Amino acid sequence: MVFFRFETRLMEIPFTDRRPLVRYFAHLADRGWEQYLDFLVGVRAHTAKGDSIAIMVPARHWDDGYAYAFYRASYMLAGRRVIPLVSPDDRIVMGNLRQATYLAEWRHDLPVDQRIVWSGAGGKLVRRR
Amino acid sequence: MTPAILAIVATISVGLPLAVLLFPTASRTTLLALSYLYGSGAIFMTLFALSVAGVPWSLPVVAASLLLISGLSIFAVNRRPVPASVPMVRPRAQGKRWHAIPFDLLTLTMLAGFGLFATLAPLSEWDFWAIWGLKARTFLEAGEIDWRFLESRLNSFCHPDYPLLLPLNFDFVALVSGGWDDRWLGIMFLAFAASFLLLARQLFLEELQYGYAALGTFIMASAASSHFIGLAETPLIVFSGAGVLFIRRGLRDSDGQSFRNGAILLGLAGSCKNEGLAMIASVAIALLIVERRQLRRFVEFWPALAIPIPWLVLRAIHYLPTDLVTGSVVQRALSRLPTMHLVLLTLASRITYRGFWISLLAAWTIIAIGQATLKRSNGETSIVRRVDLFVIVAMAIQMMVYLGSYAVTPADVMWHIGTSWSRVSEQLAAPLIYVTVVMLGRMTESSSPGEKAASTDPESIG
Repeated sequence: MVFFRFETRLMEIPFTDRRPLVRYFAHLADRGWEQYLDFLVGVRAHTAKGDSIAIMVPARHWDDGYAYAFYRASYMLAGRRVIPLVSPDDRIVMGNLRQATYLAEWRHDLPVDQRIVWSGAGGKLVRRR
Repeated sequence: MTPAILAIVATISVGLPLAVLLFPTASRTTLLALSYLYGSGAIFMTLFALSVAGVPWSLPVVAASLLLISGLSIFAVNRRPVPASVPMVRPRAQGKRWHAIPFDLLTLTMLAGFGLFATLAPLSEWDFWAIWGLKARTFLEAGEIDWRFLESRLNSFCHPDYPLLLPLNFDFVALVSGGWDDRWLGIMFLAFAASFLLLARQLFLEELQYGYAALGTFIMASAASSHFIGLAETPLIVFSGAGVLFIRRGLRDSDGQSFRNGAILLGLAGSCKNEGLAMIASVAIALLIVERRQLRRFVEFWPALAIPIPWLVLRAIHYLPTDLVTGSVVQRALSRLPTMHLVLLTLASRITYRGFWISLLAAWTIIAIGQATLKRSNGETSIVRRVDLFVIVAMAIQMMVYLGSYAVTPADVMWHIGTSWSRVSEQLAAPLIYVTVVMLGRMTESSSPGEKAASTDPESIG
């Protein structure tokens, strides 16, 4: 029992250089989505509590990226109402856009009637008219 | 980091008078460990009550409420005579303190490693920012529990039905910090794990010599150090593990105080996750099966049932359904019956710490042989006690609950296993490690001639 519950990795941490681990874990959640977190920080800074924000990213499939983008945005934009434009069964639900005050587009250009509020970190925040 | 540490100190300060009030005969070490657990429970209930009362959260309001709780606890402590109860620590005479040192050093090293691991970077687990952290941050923005957020169909992914002890404790840290910062929230998980190990070591010391007690604590250290930082796994393991062990202690010594303490901790486990609610039911059923002789104790189980009730009532009022029971549960279970053997095989093959579970079974086999041998040689059965069986039966029932949830899950069962099994199987480890180490220690002592007389116990089963 001692052998099988011996957490070698945890035991080593106090005695090893932790900088590689710090770098690894700092980017673990957002691997493959570099800049997306910075983009959401920018969106948060340019919107207010209670705003509705639709999320548009290159991923079109729920389990293949859109869920990450939507969940991550929900966390980073807490206090705002985050609206998905892809459903869990992979349907594009542009109808949801009607509920949104803003559209946060990351690495994507949606041809809609729009006014750019802010752009940066690979995306732009547009206010719907 | 300073605000997070301040929040932990504040949590302990709030919990200390409560611990003294509820468990006056506990040792100082036990009181310190219980202080953090009771403190986090008090913070959860305070923020919950303020939200229900419509009082927006702010540091002055929350601090004043917690001070009031502490003040009332101190007042009650001073007014109440200390009831007679079993003293907390009764170290074994045969033990030598220095035997504990090597294992204690290993435990401290593992805890240090766990603390460093938990605070390497901002919390990055998917379930942290999709469930636990998301709710906490949303509620902080709202200054209360945001029922509209929980009710929204768009947010069903965040499991709105999950109890709120952990998110509200995150919010307390944020209130102390003056804003949301997930960089140092991991320290809370170190505090939970350290509290649990302090309690476990004290409990071990009541039954084993120093060396065995420290060894057992070291084995439990990995069970308390869940790698899922930011999720409610660690608090659940700590509250439910400590709850079960204190109930076991209460049964062993007919100590109502210990039993009630265990029931409170179980109630708090039920405020962490739905598995905690299931654990309350599993323990209650195990009590009925194994400890019918002490059924009068069941009345003292009321805190385990009372603590989660306010959340369950509000959850029902706000229609926050549990995904497992949505739709036709019976139909799903029946349709999965023919393939349940595949589910069981998958569970067996994907269990984490497989070697540990095999070694646990091996240990039980050795214990059973030892028990039979002892019974033949001297007619006494002193290795396995009813209270140990109570723990094993409670964990077995809980395991059945997990199997049942895989049978009825509306999600793809293999996906569900892949995303949860490694976590939920670990929730059972700590109490099982405890009783197994105690039984092995007892067997080793029974096999030594000088110990045989001491090991004979009227609580034995036979």
